[in-house]
Amino acid sequence: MWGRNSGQTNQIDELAKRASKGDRKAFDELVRLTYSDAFTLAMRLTNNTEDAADATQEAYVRIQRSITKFRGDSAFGTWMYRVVANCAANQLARRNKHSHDELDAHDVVDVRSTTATQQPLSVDRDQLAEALKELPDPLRAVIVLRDLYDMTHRDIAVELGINEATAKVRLHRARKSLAAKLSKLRDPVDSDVGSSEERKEQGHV
Amino acid sequence: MFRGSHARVQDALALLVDGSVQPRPRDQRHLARCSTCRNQLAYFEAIRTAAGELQTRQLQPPVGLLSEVMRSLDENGVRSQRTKPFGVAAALGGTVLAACGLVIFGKNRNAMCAMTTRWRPS
Repeated sequence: MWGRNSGQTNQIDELAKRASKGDRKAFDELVRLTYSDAFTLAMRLTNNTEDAADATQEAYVRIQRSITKFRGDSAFGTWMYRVVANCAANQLARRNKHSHDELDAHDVVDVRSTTATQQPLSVDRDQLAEALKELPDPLRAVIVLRDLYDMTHRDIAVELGINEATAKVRLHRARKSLAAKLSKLRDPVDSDVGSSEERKEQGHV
Repeated sequence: MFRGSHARVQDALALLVDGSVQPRPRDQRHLARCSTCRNQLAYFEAIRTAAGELQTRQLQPPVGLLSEVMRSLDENGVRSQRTKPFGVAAALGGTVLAACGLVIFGKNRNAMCAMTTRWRPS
């Protein structure tokens, strides 16, 4: 989940324990070592540099306020990602509340599925990153937290302020839509695979 | 029967891929004999694997973000550090002032009582 080797993870967890006992220097070092990871997650969730920077800043202020509660039972990174996810979700809600409501109203799973039968198994990382950016905010959030950061459905639901069933429905739509977009990026002319999902995403189905 | 299973499994593939939903026994039987569904499931698995690898790719934070974060932490930290000494001083000062006030008020009260007594019509 953390994307770091175990030595770095141990160092970060050790700093977090020292910071939890009031060591301000340890906390500052913790921020220096992790702010790039925090920003990356915030950026993937908000898709907007300014929102991501605000969410990162808010997350560290929250972490600072509650660092004394950090006991080291779980990795600092797991906790930090949850706080960042929550702050980014708040940022998205502030920016785009109307869009969230609209998506909730259309949270109906389309039983029609992709028609392609022989999808190539190699996935281009750049195309995947591009396709992720194109997803609507609520769909991108669940797939980023689940598939990139390996969060449980329960944690995703808590941090995004939705229930677990909605989190799964969004994940279902997000994965199908992502598959459709990837097919379209790979083969823009013959991309029947994505048509129904994309029409639904745009509210036409 | 086959068509019904096929549609249901096709629809569930996006959640079957990581065990977010569990296949029914008849869906498992369908997967075992339907190459279309198996191929699509493999494609979803490939996307999920690639997404997991994407996590290690860090995005470049904007210049100045770290100093902005540090500044807001300083403000937050300074506020919380100042609250205690200021609070203690304020509490001590308040107690002293209150005590002085009581003494002064007490003295004045005696004087006022004396004046009142003096001015009381006999």
